[in-house]
Amino acid sequence: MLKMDKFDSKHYNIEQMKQNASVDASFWINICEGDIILHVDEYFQLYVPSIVAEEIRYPLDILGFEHRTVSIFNDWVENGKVVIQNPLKAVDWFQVGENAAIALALERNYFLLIDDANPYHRAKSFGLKTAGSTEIAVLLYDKDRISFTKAMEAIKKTHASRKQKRQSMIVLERLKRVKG
Amino acid sequence: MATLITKSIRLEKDENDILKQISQEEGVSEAAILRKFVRQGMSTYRLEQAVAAYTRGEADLSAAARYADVSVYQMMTELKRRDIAPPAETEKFVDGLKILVETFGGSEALRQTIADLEHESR
Repeated sequence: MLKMDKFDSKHYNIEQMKQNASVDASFWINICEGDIILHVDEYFQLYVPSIVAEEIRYPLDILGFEHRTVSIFNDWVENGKVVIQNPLKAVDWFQVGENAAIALALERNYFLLIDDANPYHRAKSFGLKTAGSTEIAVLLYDKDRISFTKAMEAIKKTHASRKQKRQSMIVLERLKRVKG
Repeated sequence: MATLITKSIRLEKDENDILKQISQEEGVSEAAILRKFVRQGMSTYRLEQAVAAYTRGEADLSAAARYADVSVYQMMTELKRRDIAPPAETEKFVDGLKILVETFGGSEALRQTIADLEHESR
């Protein structure tokens, strides 16, 4: 990668700002489906608890069929872009996989990358910094890392509700207008 | 081999006729057909329960998927198909954007867009 690629249009040094993040399966699936996973690596070092890794690998390991989200995940684990890391103890709400992702973020003071909105208030009450794939798509467009069309496509391809997609696309449209 | 437990059920005549017909068409025993239908019915029931719990905000994706005995991916696809919007979705989106801008910076245009969004959601 060219050195210039490490700097965004607003002259922030991405390498210096790279954040550690705990990832849950919903985020991984959507960010791969949206085809913007390559850019996530520029902003985050990703950590995935083994229980979440099992959820991501479920289509291949349990159902036996190849899936893009799984093959990218396995590649990223192999080349160190994703590190399997487990929390020392899981917090006791909801289900074991989600607990692990949130617990890891809590213990290590990581970002939490999650698209599932249901555990959101709990995570927020613990002061976790939380973001999802649609927000990342908007940020990438704002920083000229991806085109407007690419950001729109990424949002369309997620499993978010129609309401959520509409809202995200309205934000993108407005941003495009204001940016000029 | 798994232990099988015998259950006896009473059917209406028309239900019995349909069962007999399906059994002949499929070339398998009526008991095997019944077992297949019971399994399918239980799967459907558990999926409906999981979707309902998720919609009410009582379960997260992983819990719902595990209860329904499907993958997280399948659960996400099912929720998308039914266009289920979790209660906290909008708040999560706005907060997520703000946190990303606070952490990585963002244009004045994006900050203005977020401010407008917050103003509208009040």
